[in-house]
Amino acid sequence: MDTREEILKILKERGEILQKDLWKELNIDSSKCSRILRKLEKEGLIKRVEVVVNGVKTFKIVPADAEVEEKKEELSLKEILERLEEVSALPPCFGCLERDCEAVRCLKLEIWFLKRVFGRKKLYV
Amino acid sequence: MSRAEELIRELIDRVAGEVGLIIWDMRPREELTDEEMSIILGIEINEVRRALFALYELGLAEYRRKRDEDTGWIEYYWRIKYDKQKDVLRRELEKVKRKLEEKVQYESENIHYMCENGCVKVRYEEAMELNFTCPRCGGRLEYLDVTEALDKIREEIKKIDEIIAEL
Repeated sequence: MDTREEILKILKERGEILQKDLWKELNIDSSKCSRILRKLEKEGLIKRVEVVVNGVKTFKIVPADAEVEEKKEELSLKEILERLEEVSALPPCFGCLERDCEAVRCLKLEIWFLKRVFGRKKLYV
Repeated sequence: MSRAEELIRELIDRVAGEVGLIIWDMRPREELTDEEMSIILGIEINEVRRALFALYELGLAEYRRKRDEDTGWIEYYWRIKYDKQKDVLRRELEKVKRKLEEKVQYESENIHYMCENGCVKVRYEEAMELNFTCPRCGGRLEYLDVTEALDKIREEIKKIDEIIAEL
């Protein structure tokens, strides 16, 4: 069985797999894996959905006919705050590679700021 | 570890991740290709490359391209720029300071209201138009007191100034 067939078989059995797990499991290098997957997608046999795992972007591979959940466009501030575990002393601007940004329009900075506003309030409760 | 060292490590961690820090700590005496680093460190080459380019974006690494005469492939020879760490740190801290000053100015010039359930934050004028009702959940919009947070941030800006002066 060649790699293409193996990939399709895995998908049939499990429904989905992360690209980063796939190439490890098939014991091929990541660029080869990526090449094959791009081709399979072009042929309409699979879909690649961009996901973030542990802060790293990868693809989730699903069969072409799978219903893919639409990415939620916006999160409420509360949801974002709940997802952030800690406030670092320095704001996200430290090390941010965004050029020409406007501080007052930056969502990351806003979250950092609100964490400060509420973090302090909580101390007094 | 000095404060500058701690900060440069945090910076590398943020931008180039753990692999970036591992590469930084290698302190190689000479140029290395990404492949050589990958072998020495036992880290997958794509991860090494990603971290190296992140260090490059920060201004902490540079590369030289050279065609390998045997294979005909282009090889990247990397050098980590330890001599630039203070300049990079100063640039980042000055940027942080600028951004925080912009934020403090905006927040101190504008009054905001926030939904009691945390859905939205809006300016006072908008809150009035919304009749102090959250457009998402119908909850009450409450005055957001940012005075203490702003004081704290102003103090932090002073600290950043001190660190810059120490560099």
